[in-house]
Amino acid sequence: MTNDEKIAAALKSDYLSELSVFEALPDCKISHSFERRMQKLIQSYFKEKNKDSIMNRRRIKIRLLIAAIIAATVALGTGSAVLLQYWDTFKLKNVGNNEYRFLVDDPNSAPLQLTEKYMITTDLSEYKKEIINDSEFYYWEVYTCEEDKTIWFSQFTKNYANSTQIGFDNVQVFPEKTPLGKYTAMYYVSADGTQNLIWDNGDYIFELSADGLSKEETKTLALSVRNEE
Amino acid sequence: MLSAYISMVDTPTEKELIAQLYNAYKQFMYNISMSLLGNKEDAEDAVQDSFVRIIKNLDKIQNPYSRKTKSYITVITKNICFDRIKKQQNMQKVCLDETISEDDLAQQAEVDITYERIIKNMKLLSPQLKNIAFLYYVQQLPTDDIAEMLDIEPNTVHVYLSRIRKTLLMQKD
Repeated sequence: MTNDEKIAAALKSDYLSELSVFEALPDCKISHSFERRMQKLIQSYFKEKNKDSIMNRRRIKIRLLIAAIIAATVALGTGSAVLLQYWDTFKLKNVGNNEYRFLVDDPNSAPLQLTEKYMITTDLSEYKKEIINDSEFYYWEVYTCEEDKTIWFSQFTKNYANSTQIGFDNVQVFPEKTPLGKYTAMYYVSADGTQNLIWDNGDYIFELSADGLSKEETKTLALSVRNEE
Repeated sequence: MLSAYISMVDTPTEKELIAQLYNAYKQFMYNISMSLLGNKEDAEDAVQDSFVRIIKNLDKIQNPYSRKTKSYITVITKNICFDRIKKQQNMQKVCLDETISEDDLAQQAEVDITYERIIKNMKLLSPQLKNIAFLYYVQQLPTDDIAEMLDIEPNTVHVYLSRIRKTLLMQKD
């Protein structure tokens, strides 16, 4: 064993014994005010980072604008689809082969975690509820009933939803704008007839999909989504 | 369906990584800080400073739940706490224990030394120097990374490492 190996072994042993002491410490209560301070710190870190890249983004934006004008001109000339489709705070970008990227404006300005949970407040007592995913960034639940109706409800942090790629092969209704209370939602009907609504309430991205329900019924359910008190 | 696509994405983004680190280690960091600093205000400031340091060194963290990550977080938190103690005591940011004289460290021929002797000599190292030694010898981090992680100059790391080695390999009491 060389001297360096002995030093490493001694330091490792010292670290492990110290770690066991730290791990055995009783939990000290963390105050709510400190928790809030830390959440703000994390968010402000990303805002600063965004600020730093604004100059670069402006240059890139000008280049993208020129590229978009050329692409739109070509698209109009050839009769093919326009590359970008906009809603108020998010957009779909065509990345080819009927695949689109879901892009959220300024995703880092919204909460980084699901600090507030939302739920469908319409009475769904005849449905069986199952939670598929319940993480800090993304919640997904499904309701099923005997009449072959299925409802999927999801809540995401904006950062988590940002850049997700979605395929719209054989959709019955291609994504379009539809008013949803004070928001403008993205509405589309999947190939199997499932109604889909995606909207942004300023803090989070929501998605409600319904199989066996009409567009209006789906919108009514979406309008009943409220903050879980 | 957006949900279905999102559920397939398992690569955490930078922001997710930060949130995961914060949630996984905030209590651990706070416990260490409370045990070393002894009061809530200093402990909170130390956790905040440590977390800022961790964010700056995010590129060194791949898996938030690995042992290596935990060791980085422990070292950074301890270091920030000891820096605060030093500042409170109006001491210089010199890490080596003053009881070791330059004479003791004078050009000694490196000989094969026992493990027990190293353990004994380790007590002569200040906590900060022990942190540097741990990152270099155990985690095998390059000196530039150690400098970034502990917010010191790379040259200072070289100087400290040389003194650490001489101290640990000292033959006499």
